[in-house]
Amino acid sequence: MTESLGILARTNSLWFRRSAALFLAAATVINTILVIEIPKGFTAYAYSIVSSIAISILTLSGLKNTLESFFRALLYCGGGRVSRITVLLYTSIIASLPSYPLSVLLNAPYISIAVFALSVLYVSRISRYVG
Amino acid sequence: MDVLAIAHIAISLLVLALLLVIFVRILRTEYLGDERRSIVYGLKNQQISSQFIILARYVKKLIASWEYLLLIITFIAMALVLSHHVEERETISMTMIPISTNLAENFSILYSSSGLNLTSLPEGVVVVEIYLGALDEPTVIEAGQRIFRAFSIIAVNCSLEAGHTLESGFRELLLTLCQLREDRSIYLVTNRPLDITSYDKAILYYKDKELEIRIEGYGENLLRALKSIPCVGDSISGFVNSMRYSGGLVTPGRFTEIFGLNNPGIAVISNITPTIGIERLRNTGAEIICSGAQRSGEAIMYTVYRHRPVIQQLIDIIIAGLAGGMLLIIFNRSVIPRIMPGSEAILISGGTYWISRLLPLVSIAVAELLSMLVFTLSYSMLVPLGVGGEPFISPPGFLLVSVISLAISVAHMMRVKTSYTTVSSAYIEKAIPVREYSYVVEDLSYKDVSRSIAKALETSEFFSIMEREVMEKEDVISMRLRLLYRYAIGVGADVSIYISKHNNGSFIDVEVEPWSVDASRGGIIDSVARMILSRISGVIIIDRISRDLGKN
Repeated sequence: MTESLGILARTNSLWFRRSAALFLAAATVINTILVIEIPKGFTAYAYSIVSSIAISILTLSGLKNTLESFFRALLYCGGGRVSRITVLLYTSIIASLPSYPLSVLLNAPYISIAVFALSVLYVSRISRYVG
Repeated sequence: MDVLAIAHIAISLLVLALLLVIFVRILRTEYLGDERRSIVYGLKNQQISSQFIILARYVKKLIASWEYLLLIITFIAMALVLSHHVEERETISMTMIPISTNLAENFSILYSSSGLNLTSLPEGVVVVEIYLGALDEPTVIEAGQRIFRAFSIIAVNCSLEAGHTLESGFRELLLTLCQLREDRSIYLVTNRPLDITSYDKAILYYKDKELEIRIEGYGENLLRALKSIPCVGDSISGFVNSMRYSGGLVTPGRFTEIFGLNNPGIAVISNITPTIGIERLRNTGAEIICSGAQRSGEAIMYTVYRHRPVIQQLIDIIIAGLAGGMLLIIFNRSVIPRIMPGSEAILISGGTYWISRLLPLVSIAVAELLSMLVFTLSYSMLVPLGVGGEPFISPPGFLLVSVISLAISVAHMMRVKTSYTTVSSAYIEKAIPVREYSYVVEDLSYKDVSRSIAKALETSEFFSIMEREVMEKEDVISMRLRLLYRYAIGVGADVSIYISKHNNGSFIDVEVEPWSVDASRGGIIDSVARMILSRISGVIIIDRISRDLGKN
């Protein structure tokens, strides 16, 4: 339990380095306001899903090197499969942040599900290269 | 937007995405490069400067990436949203205004500067229709020896019946408006005095039409009646005044077709009042709806605002610009770590420090400008497909959105650039991160060297050895060590050492790959690499000095 908390604390530090969390939050807020303003319909759904995926994946792409180094260090310092999965899920949950308010606004949970699934896929590809 | 348009957009987007994917795949596999490669014997002089090649590689690396594809698709989706046509929003304000003529509660007066559409109303409810129009070209009337010109026209179509119960005051107003004779008579409004009150035989010329008409002088009292229509009078007073000075015609309803008047500007409606049928009245496109109030001498005036408020449009433009800017910033942040290390290649190839910092940013700017071009093209293709209303962001607003997005991105890039050492035209010496080390040492056997290096790392106060593999074969020793840095958590390095026999001495090749739980490059990572390399090089130098001293 303590080990998991320690790993999550380390993961948080990844997000706050280079203000990644700040930019993710700012992009989420502005994108949500834009979706509130735009006329609802097919175009709003299309934009919401595409923009959420773009913000999440581009943010993770900006942290790619850091995540690779983190997963390598985790492996060398004795982190097991559970630690790895914990980091994978936690990182994906944070990266999917832009999709949550849009899912609520448009009453479309599949937006969050799709963005989360893609985030998991992206992070797992990064972790697979290590070790 | 109908189903066909949506299908068209969806297919276009899919085709565009497919083309981009194919393009990216081709560039990634370097299929094109392989096709063009030819066998070259000997050396060829390089015609293009190395900096240009590096810039071209930057741009290729940026454009042929999934991140860029995502950015382009998002901008196309944003263009789809911004070009989406929206129905104008309506807001209604209600005010009580004093009126000089009594207006019955069961009557409503509608006004629209762009014309009313009365087809949605039931038959028989329209009592009076008044058409107001400025003529495309002046109409000319030849009456005896005199020529009159008119630039505007008012046509009144009355369906006033005896069954309509009208209050005094309003009755007189309607009777004044409806006193026009429904024959070939046209009433002339002019500031020039007429010789006689009417001309029985006059000819009206309008465009290619020629009509024989009867001209009568239109009384001042009728113009005054128009201006005294409750709630509406003020709105049409400008039109009436201009008619009085420049000349105009007042005709019965049968002339509307000749002058191309399709929709009335003012209508008096009976039996539908705002209290029971505001939706019906709004659907006519009315800007002002007026009906009688319970208290005599007052009327209820509803003002309908159909245009989106300018402030709302401005807010939408700013939000869209900010969203575009944030997207570009996130794209910058995702590609900068990948292309920034390449600036060292520029330094090595002879470029100055500021060029090495500027070129990656220029390549990002080129990529962003291309994405903005796609954004603009998508918007201009999608706007004409919209049906009804106006685009969510108008074309000038879209231009502003693009400018705001680019400005935000440029501001971010400027910040990235200036976060390094101040830009200078001078060549600035800078430590290039070193991860590899090769050395040839004379008169020291490869076995002695490997023993010294292994001992130096094992006894280091900064590192503890986690793993050690040594492979010895003939004249070659290959070592792999995994070191853990003792003074930080989760920091270490993998060290690969290759030592071989070289004449009477040894050849040493060391490669260090540091790793950390916190950082990926720079800072402690570089420090750890330098510490390991200095430890190895130090022990070799000490061995060499000891050997030289031993000789002496």
